[in-house]
Amino acid sequence: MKRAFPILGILTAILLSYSLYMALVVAPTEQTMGDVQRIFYYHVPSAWTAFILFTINFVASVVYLIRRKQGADIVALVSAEVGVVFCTIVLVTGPIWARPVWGIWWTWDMRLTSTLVLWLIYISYLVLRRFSASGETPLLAATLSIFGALCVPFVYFSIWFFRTQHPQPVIGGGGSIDPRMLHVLLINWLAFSCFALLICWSRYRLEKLQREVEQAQALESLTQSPGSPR
Amino acid sequence: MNGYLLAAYAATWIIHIGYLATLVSRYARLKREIDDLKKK
Repeated sequence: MKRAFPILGILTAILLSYSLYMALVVAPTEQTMGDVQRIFYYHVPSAWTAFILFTINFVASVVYLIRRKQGADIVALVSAEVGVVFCTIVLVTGPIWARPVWGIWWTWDMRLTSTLVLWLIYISYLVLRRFSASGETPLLAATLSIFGALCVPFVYFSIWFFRTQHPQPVIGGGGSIDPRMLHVLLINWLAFSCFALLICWSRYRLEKLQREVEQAQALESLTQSPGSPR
Repeated sequence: MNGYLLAAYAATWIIHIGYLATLVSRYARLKREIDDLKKK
């Protein structure tokens, strides 16, 4: 396992460089939007990766609620944190694309608003985990994450159910895309998924170590407190 | 290169690198705490 991490790191770096080259050089230029359309190769894979991470957070939270396993709690925390990073990228790159194409940075459209709500739910999840010192925090957070997870399919399908300014989905839902663009999109998604896996792995190890240190510090303070047996 | 495209790609990597920097800083703090525990 110790060798797997650097190997995955190198492969991910190569894949990210290759996907950047594909997005900027190989992918054909869209006729109406021009080069601005290339933002799509970062925006869409980031959204898909965030959705997957929030789904992992949901599954891990359910496992934690049923079995009370610390590992499931750590997976839930890590997937929510990395998911928020990717969701932030979606919320930043979306308006940067919208400004030249729609003429506005933001509109209170169903897809955009629901994505913002989803992001705020997971931000509150992380704030709860960060600042609540109660022993019940993982339980409360797991319950909150179930509400967050309910928002994920709503965000995804909002462009089917509501009249929206957001472009239609490129896969399914009647959308169409040039096969060369689809190829570049999928390579970028693979690269970002590997990158997300790498960050989650690193963050999981950090969280596990952090909890071990906290336990050791608690034990240390107990043994040093006055009146405790030495 | 289109300015909006550059801004979007740059913002993506600034966010990722910023998050990675927080992880590195947390690792460094944890390492100091481990060293303190070992000294005790």
